Amino acid sequence: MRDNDTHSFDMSGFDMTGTAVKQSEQTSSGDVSHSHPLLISTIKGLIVLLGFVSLVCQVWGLPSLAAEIAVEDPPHAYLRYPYLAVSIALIVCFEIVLVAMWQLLTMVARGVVFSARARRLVNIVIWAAIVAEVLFAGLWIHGLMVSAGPPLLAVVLLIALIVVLCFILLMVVMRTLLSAATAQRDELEAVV
Amino acid sequence: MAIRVNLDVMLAKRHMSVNELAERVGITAANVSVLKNGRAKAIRFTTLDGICQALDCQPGDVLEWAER
Repeated sequence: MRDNDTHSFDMSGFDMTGTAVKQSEQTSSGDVSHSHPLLISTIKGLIVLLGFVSLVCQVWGLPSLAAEIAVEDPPHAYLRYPYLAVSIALIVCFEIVLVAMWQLLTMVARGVVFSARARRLVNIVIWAAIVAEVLFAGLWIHGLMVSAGPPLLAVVLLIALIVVLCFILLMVVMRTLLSAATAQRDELEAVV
Repeated sequence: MAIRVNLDVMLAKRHMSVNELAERVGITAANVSVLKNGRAKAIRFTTLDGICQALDCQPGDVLEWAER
């Protein structure tokens, strides 16, 4: 799309579709210099940390927790593997969001975040959050029906449901802002 | 485009190359070509100012309205 070709112009130095070629001192360098490299590296560091923690939870933490609970609560031991599978799927959603965030941050650092690719990444984040919301809702409703786990679990799940819902709605608003900014950016790119 | 850019005419009159104009105005040679070949969708007043200064002309000398 548009963002892709304006990019290749930087390489070729020439523009074949009538869009103005980027100028270093005017539009394009503005956001690169405002991209806060330290801030972005800090967030990326935190993403690595969170990714590591979630991997540990997936591979070791949750399976051993499920085994422990199955032993403590034999009537609900049959839920060990279904609940474990749903929990691992939830963490997969979280990891997808982390990867998409990482790519978006890379784009912010390069000053190319106002593009169709960024919108696709935000869509991935939103869909991963929607899947997580559905899984949380399933766990919550099923947990209430069979009254599995401590009462606190139902409360925690309800809070998670609300938080993820807020996140989804916030991301949808952010996506409209991104689209508006991308449209304006594309229009400004055409100015010589 | 209904607005025509007659940059090539003025460049020829002033015996100036695209690269020289680009340098004087402070835009890329590629963007001067975009203007010259009538592929520009919009122009900044600062760019127009630079062009008029470099070519010692009026905006009307480089811009012209024509029926499609």
